[in-house]
Amino acid sequence: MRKPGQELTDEQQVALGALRRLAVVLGAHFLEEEGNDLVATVRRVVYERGTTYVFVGTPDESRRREILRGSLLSRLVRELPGVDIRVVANRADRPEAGS
Amino acid sequence: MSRLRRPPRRLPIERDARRILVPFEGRLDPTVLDAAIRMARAEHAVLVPAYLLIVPLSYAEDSPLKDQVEVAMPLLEAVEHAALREGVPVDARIEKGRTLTHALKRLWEAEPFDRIVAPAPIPGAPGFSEKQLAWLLTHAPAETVVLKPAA
Repeated sequence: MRKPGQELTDEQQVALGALRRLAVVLGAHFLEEEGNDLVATVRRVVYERGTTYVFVGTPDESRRREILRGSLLSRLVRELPGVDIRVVANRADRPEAGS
Repeated sequence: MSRLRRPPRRLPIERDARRILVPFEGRLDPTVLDAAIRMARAEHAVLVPAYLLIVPLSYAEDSPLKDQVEVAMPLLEAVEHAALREGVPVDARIEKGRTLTHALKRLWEAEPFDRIVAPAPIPGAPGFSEKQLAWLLTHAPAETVVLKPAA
């Protein structure tokens, strides 16, 4: 999702291009949606496409945002009744990854 | 305010950081991986391990390759863990093509790299042939290092 009119940096364009190419390799559909609110945009796409399963990465949210707006995950659960939501961990966070 | 921030979940990638491409097929020899990680750490660069997939001529070029991706993902994950242990940020890729050189060309046409680290051929193992390495050294858009895996 990107905000309406948002320009991407070169790095973001490269990352987006890599994701598009990975989607082709996987046989997945890659959608780019415009919106100002991630949860509202996901909700719209889920109902437009009859989605029953949503995968999300681990959000990198600030505590302040969580306190003010509620966490992204709890908002998704609340806004998507009847839809399975799976949070995929960042493999780099596993203990064996070390640092 | 800063006390409210959580620590970043992955190593930060500096803006305009150098990018070191490590293309491979099959498995990546640990000697080559270690050397690429050392280079990336010394140059404060991002390591870009790229698993190259071959699309057989009997398939359309945009065919999904789920079986091959299932092989590639754990390998890339292992590379990522090895790099992260050394404090090197990683931005992994999977690229496909009709040949290894075709996949490589697509990759560097899509994004810039500052250095390429390629493994030399191992007899009987998948990976670049001598002829493909010669092509790589001739056509690569960046400084290229060919590393011989441990015997």
